[in-house]
Amino acid sequence: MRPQAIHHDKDKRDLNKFGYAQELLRSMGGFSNFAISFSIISILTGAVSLYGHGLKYGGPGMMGFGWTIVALFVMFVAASMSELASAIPTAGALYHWAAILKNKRWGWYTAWINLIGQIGIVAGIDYSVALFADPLLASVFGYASNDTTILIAFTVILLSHGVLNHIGIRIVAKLNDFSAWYHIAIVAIVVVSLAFFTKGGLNSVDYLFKVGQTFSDKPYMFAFLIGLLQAQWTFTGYDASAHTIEETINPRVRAPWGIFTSVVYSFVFGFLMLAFVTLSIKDAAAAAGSDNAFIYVISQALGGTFGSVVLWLVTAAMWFCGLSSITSFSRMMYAFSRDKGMPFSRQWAQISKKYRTPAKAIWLAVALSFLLAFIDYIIKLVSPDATYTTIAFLTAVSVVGLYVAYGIPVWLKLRAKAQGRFQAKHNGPWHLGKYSNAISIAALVWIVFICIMMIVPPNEMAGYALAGMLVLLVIMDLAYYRKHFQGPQAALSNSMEDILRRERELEGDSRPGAGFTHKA
Amino acid sequence: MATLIGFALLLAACLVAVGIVRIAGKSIREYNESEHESFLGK
Repeated sequence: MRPQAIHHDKDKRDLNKFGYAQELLRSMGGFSNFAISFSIISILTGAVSLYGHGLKYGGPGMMGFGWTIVALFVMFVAASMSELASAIPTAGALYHWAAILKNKRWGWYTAWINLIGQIGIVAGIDYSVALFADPLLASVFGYASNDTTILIAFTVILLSHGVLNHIGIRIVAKLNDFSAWYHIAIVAIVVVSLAFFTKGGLNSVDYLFKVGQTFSDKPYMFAFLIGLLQAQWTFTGYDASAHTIEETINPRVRAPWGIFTSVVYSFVFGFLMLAFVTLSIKDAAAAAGSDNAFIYVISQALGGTFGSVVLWLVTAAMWFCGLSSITSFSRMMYAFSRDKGMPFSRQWAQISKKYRTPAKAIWLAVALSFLLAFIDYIIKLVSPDATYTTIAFLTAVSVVGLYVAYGIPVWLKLRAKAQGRFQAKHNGPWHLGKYSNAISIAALVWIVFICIMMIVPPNEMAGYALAGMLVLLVIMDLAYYRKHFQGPQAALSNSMEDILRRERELEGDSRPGAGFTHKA
Repeated sequence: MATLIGFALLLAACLVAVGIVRIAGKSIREYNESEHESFLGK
């Protein structure tokens, strides 16, 4: 028997222990699992689209200090999540961990908070693509880029991601693999271009760590903390490696590595890119005040034509990021619906027999992400004097939603360990031994701190939106789900016979032309 | 001075990354499947 087949069988048995059948196609290797998180973190999306935000609030020092400080603490968060992914390898990930570490209601809230963050991240990423693509297209086709054309571009981009995700995990996995290399190649092109072709040469390295300069009306220290949104939003979405865990071969080792190494490589390559972009700034005040600081700096440093080529390449990288984020979001919703945690769960838990993908969950992810950006578009239409930016709103919502969802199971695991329920024998192969608790506590401290910083003015609108969504969740919980949500624990009562029959059904019908099926 | 602190911070972040990779790598090498029990929350 081939090693891959042995792993596949064992992985399936591990999943079956949690009461689930192997419904999704398990075909992702270690690199693909890493690539999906690396693509969603996408240094060419977060760090680039919020470059102006970081520069405006924290000045050039934001790129040297801000990026590194955030990366350091995010490594603690990622390491804590990696331990959990290794111990409990199911696609529900965060909410599943919370549900079995504490109870189903903790799981339910974690799932919804994660879902809110996922809506924000998909909308934020694809909106970033539109923010870059639309002005570039406008210059080619000679129209004026405005909020409406950006929204149209955003819609087209979302649809393209929906279609590709629907067609199948194999093509998405290949594109994710390509995306990882693509990101590295584009960072290399940007770095080499700026290093050798910046007009007038680079600033001294001291400029990268220059503190005390802000282009906002806030005191520097406070402004610096607001500016951390740039790095903090970049480092989101690495839970994707856990959400695709049921599609990964040898997931208890590969998924944790995917989570952790995607953060580490993003830190290194992101720092290199930000360092060279910042060192090529000619006029920081003008860049911070421009519509798109990254485009401004690149155009000033490399000239119009070369700068445009680089920007097209960066925009394509962002498109890959959006593709991966829909994959992750849809898997999370599929798993949550499988446990009947959402309205119309049976619909979203359906697997396309033809493509072995959660097709309806994919299109729900597209629709919800569109809705969030569309509501913001309407708000801006009604009150054009709103001071916040759409991208800062979407990104702040995703940072808080995702990081609260990351933090809950980490905290619950600490509690479960203190109570003696989670013991050393429950660890997966990837664990931190005696350093585990200290790293988890550092991660939690950072999560609390950063969540507060993300909703203070000028991002208070994100705070209001999140508070509103939380109230809605409480109403939903008290009105229905408190009594009716069975949680992932219910799957444990599935008999092995039922699980195997379900797997046989999918394997037998996994052929072109077959339709949808229901998860029992 | 700020530059020095910046590079020290960079070094610290890199050391943390390498440290965690080493710890996790060691735990994987020493992992004994027969001692493992799935945490099902029951």
